[in-house]
Amino acid sequence: MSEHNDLLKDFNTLKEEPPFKVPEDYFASLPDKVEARLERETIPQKQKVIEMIKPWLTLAAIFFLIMLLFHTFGPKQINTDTRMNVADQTEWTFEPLLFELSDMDIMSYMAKENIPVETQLILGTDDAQNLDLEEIEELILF
Amino acid sequence: MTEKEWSDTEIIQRFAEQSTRQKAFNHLIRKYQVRLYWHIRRMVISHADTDDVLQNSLIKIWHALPNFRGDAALYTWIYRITTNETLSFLRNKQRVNFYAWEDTDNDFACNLADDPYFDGSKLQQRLQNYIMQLPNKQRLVFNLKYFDEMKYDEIAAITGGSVGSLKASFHHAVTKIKQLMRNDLI
Repeated sequence: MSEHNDLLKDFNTLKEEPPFKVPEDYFASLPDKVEARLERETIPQKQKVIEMIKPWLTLAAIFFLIMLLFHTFGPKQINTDTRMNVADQTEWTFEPLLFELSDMDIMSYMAKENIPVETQLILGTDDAQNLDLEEIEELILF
Repeated sequence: MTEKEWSDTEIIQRFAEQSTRQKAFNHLIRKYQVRLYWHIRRMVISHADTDDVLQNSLIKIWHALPNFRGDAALYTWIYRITTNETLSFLRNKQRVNFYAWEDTDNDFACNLADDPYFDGSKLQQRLQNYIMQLPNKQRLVFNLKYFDEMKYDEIAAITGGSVGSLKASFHHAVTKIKQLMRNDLI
C-alpha cells in the first residue's frame, strides 16, 4: 500500500513538466502556417467551381473534337450503303403488296385518283396480263 | 521587439474590422496556441496529429468568430471548439482502427514508445499509458482537472454536461488509474 501511495506522490510531481517535446520553432511558425491555409481556403467560390469542372470540360472538348474530325474526315460509304439498303427493302415490300390487291381494288383506286380512262382500259384488257410491274407503275403514275 | 498581448475584448473588436482582422487573429493564435496545443496533445499523443487537429480547430475558429456573441469567455469558447475537433478526430481514428481490427489503446501506447517527441521518464510513460486506457470523455475530464487544474464549472462550459456528471467522470478516471497501478504492482 505504501508503494502505491509513493507512486501517487511521484505522479503528482509530473504535473508540471509535460513528457512530450515540441519541434523547435513550432509555435513561432504556426500563425504563418494557419494564415497560409486560410489564404488557400478563401479563394473565391466561382474560381473553385471552375477548378472543379475544369477536367470535365477538357474531356468534353476532346470528345467533341474527335467527333468533329470523324464527321469531317471519316468514311462516307456508310451513308450510301444505308440508302441502298433502304431502297432494297422498299422494292422487296412493294411487290407482294401489289399482288395481294384484287382487280376491283385497283379499279376503284384508279377511279378515286382520277386516272385517265385510257389507262383504265389498257389495264382492263388481256394485254395488261403481259405487263410487268414497272410498266403498270408507269401507267398509273404518269 | 514583441508586441504587447491584446486582451480578448480587443481581439474581438479588431477582428470585426476588415482592415485589422488578420492581425487580430494572429494575436489570438499567439495568445492561446500553447495552451490549446497541450490540451490536444494530451488527448491524441502524437505531435503530427496534434498539429493537424490544432490547425483545423484554428481554421474553424476563424470562420466561427464573426458569430461569437460573448455569452462565454473567449478562451472557453475556443477550448470548446478545439475539444470538439479533438474528440471528433479520436472517434474517426477509433472507427478506422475498428474496421482495421486494431486496438486503439495499444496503437497509442506504441505511438508513445516510438514518438521521437516523447522524452518522458519511465514513470511519465507509465502514467500516460494509464491515462490512455481511459475512455475519451473520462480522459478529457481527467486532463482538464488534473493537468490544467480547471474548476468543474469551467470544464462544464467547455465539454457540456452537469458538474455532477463531470465529478463522477473524474472519480471514475482516478479509480481506474489507481486500479491499473495496483495491477501493475502485483
